[in-house]
Amino acid sequence: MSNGDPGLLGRIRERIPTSQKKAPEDSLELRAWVLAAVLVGEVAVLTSGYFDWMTGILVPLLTVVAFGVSYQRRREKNFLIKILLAFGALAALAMFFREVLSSLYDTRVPLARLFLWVQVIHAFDLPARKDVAYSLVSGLILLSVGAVLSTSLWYGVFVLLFFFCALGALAQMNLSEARERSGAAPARSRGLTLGLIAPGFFAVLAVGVLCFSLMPQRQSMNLSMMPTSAFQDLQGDFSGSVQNPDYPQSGDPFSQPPRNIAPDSYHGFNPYMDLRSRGRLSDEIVMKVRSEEAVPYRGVVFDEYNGKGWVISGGEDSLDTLVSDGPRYDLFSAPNVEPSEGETRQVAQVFYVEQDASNVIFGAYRPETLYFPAAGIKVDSQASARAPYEIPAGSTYSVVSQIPNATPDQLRHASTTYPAGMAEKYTALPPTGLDRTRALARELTAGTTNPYDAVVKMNNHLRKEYPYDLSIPPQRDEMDAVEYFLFEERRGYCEQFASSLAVMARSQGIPARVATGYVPGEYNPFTGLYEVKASSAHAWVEVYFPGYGWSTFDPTPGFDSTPWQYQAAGSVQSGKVLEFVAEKSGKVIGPAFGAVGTLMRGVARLDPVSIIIVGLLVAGAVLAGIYSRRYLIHRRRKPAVQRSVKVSDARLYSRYGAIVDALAGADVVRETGETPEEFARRAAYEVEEPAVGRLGEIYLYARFRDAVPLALVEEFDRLEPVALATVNRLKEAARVSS
Amino acid sequence: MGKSRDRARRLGKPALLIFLTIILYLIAMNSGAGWLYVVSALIGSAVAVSIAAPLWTARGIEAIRLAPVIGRAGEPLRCTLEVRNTGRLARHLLEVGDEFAGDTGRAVVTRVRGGATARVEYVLENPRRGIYSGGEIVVESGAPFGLFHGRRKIRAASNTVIHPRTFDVAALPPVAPLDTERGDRSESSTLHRGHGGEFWGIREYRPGDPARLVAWRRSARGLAAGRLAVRELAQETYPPFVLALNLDARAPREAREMVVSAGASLLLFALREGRVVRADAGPQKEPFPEQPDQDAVLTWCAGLVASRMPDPSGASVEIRPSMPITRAGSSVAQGESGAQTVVLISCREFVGPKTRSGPWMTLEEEQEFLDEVRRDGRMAVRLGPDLEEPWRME
Repeated sequence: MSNGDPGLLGRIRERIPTSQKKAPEDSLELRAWVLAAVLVGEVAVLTSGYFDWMTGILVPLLTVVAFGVSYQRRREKNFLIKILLAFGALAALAMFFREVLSSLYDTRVPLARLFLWVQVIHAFDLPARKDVAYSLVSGLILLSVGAVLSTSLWYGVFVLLFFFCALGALAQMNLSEARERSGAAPARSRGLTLGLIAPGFFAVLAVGVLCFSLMPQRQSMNLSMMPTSAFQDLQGDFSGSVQNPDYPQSGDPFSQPPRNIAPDSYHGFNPYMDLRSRGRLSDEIVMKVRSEEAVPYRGVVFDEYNGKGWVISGGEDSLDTLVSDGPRYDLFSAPNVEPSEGETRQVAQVFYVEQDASNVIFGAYRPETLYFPAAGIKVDSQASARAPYEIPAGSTYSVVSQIPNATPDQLRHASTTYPAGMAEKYTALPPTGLDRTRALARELTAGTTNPYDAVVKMNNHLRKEYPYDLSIPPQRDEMDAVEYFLFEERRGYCEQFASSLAVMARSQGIPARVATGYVPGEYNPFTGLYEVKASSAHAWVEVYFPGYGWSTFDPTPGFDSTPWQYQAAGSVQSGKVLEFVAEKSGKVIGPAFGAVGTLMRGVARLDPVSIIIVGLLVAGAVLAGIYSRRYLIHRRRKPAVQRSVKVSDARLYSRYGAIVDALAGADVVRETGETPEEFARRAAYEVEEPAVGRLGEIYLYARFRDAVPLALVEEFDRLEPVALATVNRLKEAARVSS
Repeated sequence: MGKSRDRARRLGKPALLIFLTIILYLIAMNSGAGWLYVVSALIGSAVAVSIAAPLWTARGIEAIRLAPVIGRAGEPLRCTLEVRNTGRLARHLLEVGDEFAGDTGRAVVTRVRGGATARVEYVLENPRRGIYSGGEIVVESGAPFGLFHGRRKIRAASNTVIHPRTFDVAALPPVAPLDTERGDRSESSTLHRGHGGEFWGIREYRPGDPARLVAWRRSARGLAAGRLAVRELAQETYPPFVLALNLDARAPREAREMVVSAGASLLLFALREGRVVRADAGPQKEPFPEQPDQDAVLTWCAGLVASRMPDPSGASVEIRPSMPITRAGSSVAQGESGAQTVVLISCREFVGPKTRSGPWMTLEEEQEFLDEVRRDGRMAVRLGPDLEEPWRME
């Protein structure tokens, strides 16, 4: 090693080509902007709730260190660092594959972790501008990964911060490139942030909101990636009955006075549903759902009506237990679950639970595959699934459903020969107390030739004749709950509407049952999730048609008409941004936003009226802009009208004469041969008052003119008392001293 | 080639962003992630803003060039640009490119307030010989994000003369042998009638001749009464230094520049030696100055352009690029020049070894040309880009 021997490492280093192809990036400002953007991207991913605190601290910290190192060593070959980074990258890849193999159905988190570490590794080797730019792109990828993981509106803060930093980085990159072309050295750029980056950011934001509001949003999902939260390998058997923490179960609920409805949990998510219960559900968000279509999420199905409410028949024994060592469950493998019939279409949904809930697993009817983070679930014969535990807030599960897709014509021509046991089970009614209901059903369905038309007639009657009302008083009489609703109260909740239709259908021999769940909720165009509130809980009816299975009907006014599946609701959301913002930002500015949103939606779907209105508005705005600009230019160029005053009117000669006399009184006399200008200057010097000199100038200006500008007269008016006061003060001082 | 590559490189960034927008949008469609729509909309919006903003930024910009009056070819020329923003709002990231004096100077103005003027300095590293009265200033802006660029061309007046590069000359080529040796006292001799001390001859008096030169004795003896003879005196003078510059348009530009540089160097040296100088470079816009001094000669040389070959007969020195004179039956007509000394600028050396073929002479043809001139009793010198100063033609 001695005698100048460079050693093996040195010899290898010598063999590396010395000429560096890429010039090192010297702009510290550019690196700082990129670092800020990358850090925002990293924090956006790290705060998604999928990473431990150690990763949350290590990744940003190492990134800052890495940026520092790569700036310091930007002119070096960094041979050793590159080797270490290669090993680091391999380790991150190994970690990724290990994690992916353990969660095949949701590779988002392992992928996010891989991106995070690749970002850190890459940040150690950023010698040139191009490398710094790649780092910025990498930050954008992190932000996008975070966008996939995020379910919150707060993610917008990260998006805005990232774009501010990224746009700043682009502006700095632009400056750095321009300086390189001109051969100028990097220097601190003053005023760029406020003068260029901030206005540019707001311009991008404005155009971005416009683009986003017009952008069609399709709600499809990648079925190979169905997310679930952390898997819980619970051992031992568990009850499959519906458990709801807000409704403790003790004895027969129908033999007791009706319970009030808990504000955060619907009383239909229980083993029973008491139609006599009253109360109002809150607007708290209970879950957020990513769904390919705006279809309701079914939870519990009631098949037995007892005059006061509904219960789930069968009990524990009728439930199938599905066990798995992973999160995937195929419901067709449950032996007791009723078979699927007719044509269906597939819809995937992901549920992000926001509040502690019952053990009901929600999903569009009819769920086919569940991805639930537990070692076992239970399923009843109506394909309604239960978790082994009350599902806590923060849980995530996914459901792939096959929604019946029969057309009204197909249902109209469906057979009326029901499978054995079906008619008995789903047409059973209490023997007494429903006479008027039966009569009404008979009257409504008179003349119909098939069950579908009969159900539609009864459904339309309920929607038309009975108002939906959440403020009904408790049931007064001990009578059948459906009869009380139909003939006494004549208004009520969704479960009363659904029960009435189901009972009337049953009375006509049509198999029907009541299902409870949630309506799709409010679509949030920013998160892409439907926000489901406690008050979104709903009840509807399922009617059986041989060959086509159970079809959904909704008799509650104001809710989606039945049957939902026939509606071409579509999976494309667009133009809802302004409407959403209006909804959120209150009533004051809401109407204006709402109108704009309506117009934009109209433009998006090529509605000619909307296009004409928007065209007129845009043309008007352009014309207004052009004419305002012209007016401003004209006004700016037009010389100010200079008003003038006659010298005689202003009495400037006599007034200045008075000042000269006053000066003479103070022993400041104009000497022979002294010009008025010289005298004014001398007088100002002697009385130490510049106003005297200025008054002399104005007098001289006016002396050879008929009129003087108003501004000069005003100045004279202002200065005259000042000068006279000074002169008088001097005269007084002279008098006192003498 | 460079410009198109630069353009392609500049399009790379927006292309990448548009690609990312599409990819993120597709992923959003596939995953239903709403924020991804927001991200892709904002990227697309950044691209859209970057298309419109530079066009506005480049508008309302005026530029005035403050360049030195005189410069020298190949020597850095420091210029100043006054960039004025006539708009009301500040403009940022203005890149100014001044295509002036055969070179391009670039500078960056980070910010100009509305109605304000910014001054930027730049250096033209390799100005080219010439007289420049204008030139285009390109104001370009990629503000705010450098994805697209708006540009505006502004004509800027200036009055700059870039003199040719000159080099030290050790001596002019020796003049031809004296004609006196041949008994001929023609104008080609270095001895001329004048006011020197040497006797030249006797002639009849002409009005205006000084009385001291009257040859009284000769008048008294040999002439009729009333007629006078006067002595004529001789003075040793050099003939004018006449230069012929061949600025063949077919020759490489570098070779033509060398012709001008060598010519300017010889003319300046001759002026310093007190010689009367004349030069001919074929048909030119400006004739050679009648009363040449150093500035006039350099300015004339600065304005030389490629032109037809001048008549070299009678010239002291002819400087020509190694371009063959095409004649019937012979592609190279060697040694046709009538100049006493011929300086042959080797085009081949100027274009470099990579450019082998061209209309210029080969090495052998150059040598043949020189030999032929020398055989004619005249002097011939070959000159390439490398020159040892002070230059002596040997």
